[in-house]
Amino acid sequence: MAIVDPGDLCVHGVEPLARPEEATMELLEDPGLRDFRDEARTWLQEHVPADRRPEDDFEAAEFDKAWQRVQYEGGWAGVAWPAAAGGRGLEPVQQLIWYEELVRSGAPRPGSFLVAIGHAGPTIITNGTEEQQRSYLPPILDGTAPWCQGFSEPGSGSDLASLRTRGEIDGDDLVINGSKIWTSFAHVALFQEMLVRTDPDAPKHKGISWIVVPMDTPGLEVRRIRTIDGHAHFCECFYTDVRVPLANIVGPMNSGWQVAMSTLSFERGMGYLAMRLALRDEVDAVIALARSLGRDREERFRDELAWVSAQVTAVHALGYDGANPVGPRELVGAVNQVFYGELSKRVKRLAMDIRGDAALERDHWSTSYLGSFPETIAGGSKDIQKNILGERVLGLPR
Amino acid sequence: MIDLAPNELQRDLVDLVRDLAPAAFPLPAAVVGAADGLGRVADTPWRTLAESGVFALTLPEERGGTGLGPAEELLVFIELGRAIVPGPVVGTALAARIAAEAGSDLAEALASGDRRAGILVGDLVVDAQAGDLAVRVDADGATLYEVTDIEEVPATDPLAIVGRPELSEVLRHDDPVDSLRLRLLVGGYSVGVAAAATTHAVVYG
Repeated sequence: MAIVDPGDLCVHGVEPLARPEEATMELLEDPGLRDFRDEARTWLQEHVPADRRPEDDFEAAEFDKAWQRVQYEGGWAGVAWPAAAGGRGLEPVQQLIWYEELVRSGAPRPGSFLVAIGHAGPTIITNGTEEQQRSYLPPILDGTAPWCQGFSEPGSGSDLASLRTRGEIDGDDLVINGSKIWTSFAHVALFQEMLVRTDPDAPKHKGISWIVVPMDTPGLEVRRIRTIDGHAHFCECFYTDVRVPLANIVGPMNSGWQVAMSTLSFERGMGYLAMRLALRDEVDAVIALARSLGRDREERFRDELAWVSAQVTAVHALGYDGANPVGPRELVGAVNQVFYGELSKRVKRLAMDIRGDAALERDHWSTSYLGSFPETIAGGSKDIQKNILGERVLGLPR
Repeated sequence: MIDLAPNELQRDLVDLVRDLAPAAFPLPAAVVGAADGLGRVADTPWRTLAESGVFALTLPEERGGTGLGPAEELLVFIELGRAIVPGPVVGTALAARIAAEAGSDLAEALASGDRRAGILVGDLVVDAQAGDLAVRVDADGATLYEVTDIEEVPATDPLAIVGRPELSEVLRHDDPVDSLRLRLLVGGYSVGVAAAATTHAVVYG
């Protein structure tokens, strides 16, 4: 379902690519939504920070907090989150329009707030008690609390349900022992959404609980991992008798798998939408790069640029579908993950090819290229996504 | 029919480098170092590598080489890639060969590990510092330079040193085979790196 006027997707400063004609939708005839969009655009023009997000991982986190705080004070944090949580209580369509305008304005990405805004918050809205919503949601929106995600473990990535980190009940607490890996922003997060095995005797999907772990809990050690793009916001987390109140479990005990699936559907749906919308800007930037180097007329680049331009239009449309799916959210999310990840890598590789010999020197294109390698892994390996599609959409035998 | 399988001598050579390269350049060190850039490869492992003869494989015996051919050199460079040996391995081997054919004593200096040679790509040089040599290959042959000064720039590849050099020409070698040789060595090294990446991914998975 297309709910956006393609004319609205033009990127400033770059000639717009051809947009599909039929996408003009009656929803946008709604004067209320027009006004909402205008209001968002005006506010963003006045408030988007002029500075770039710092390269240093700790300074970047402070920058993320400050930008989130500005959005909160302007009334733009959590557009579709309940008013009781500090959100605006509007519909997903307004959330979508907000994301579009964010991307159009060149606003900073959520960075260390991606987990909090993209899925921890929505998971608590859907599955949390009133008390949990009161405790955790406002500090996300007001820029106080970045979150991280303790799901993957060494040996339990694609087969997430095989996770072994244990949580044993002791009085009113859960005592956690084990380790997690590939935990983005654990070094700055205040909370972690964590999956622990609370019933080792149950079938693997049925003995897991979803729990909120404050990052300053004694026994929790974070070790940063430096990646090839020069950043170190990837972390390992080690838990030695980490004691967390049972009241921090979100959803019923041992129902963490269902809660996690809702987390992942947010992550793969609205959580990544802004990123998907931004890919078009990146394609336009690559076109501008090719023009500036006089390489846009070279046949191999011309053909590849045309191809990625066409593909990004499809990814864009899928992005909208993922945010407001006609079919099951999980399946639309899987399609999105596969197409977005593969295309994004190709776009960033193309920029390096266009740079030619100069690509030996590191600049933002290099960082973006090196950072694109995990895009077909992050948030669920694309091979797993393809299995889901094969089994559940195409009905292929297991 | 041509037998493309490595012969006994070639297999021995591969085994030799497969043992030696990872010992001189342990992978964890390379990976850990990569975080902040590896910097210049230390002299000791570089000489260990040179003493095994990897930069002199195709040099004539009177220049300290072993007189082997491109097939042996390719097999060795696949192994250097597999061990992810950092530094100017391709440039040094190529420059040694060019110097030998041009009758220059630099051949021995490169083969023994006394001198190193980076590769010039556009206005950048890869894996060379001031005092090193650098080789630029074109369609007709190759030119060997001395790097008199360099302005280092951040490198896309954290295992490489990249910079804008000032150069002084040392010798010119006219032979179109030079560019084929460069491609052969880079190709072999890359095949090795790809094989290592596959192995590490499988081990991880």
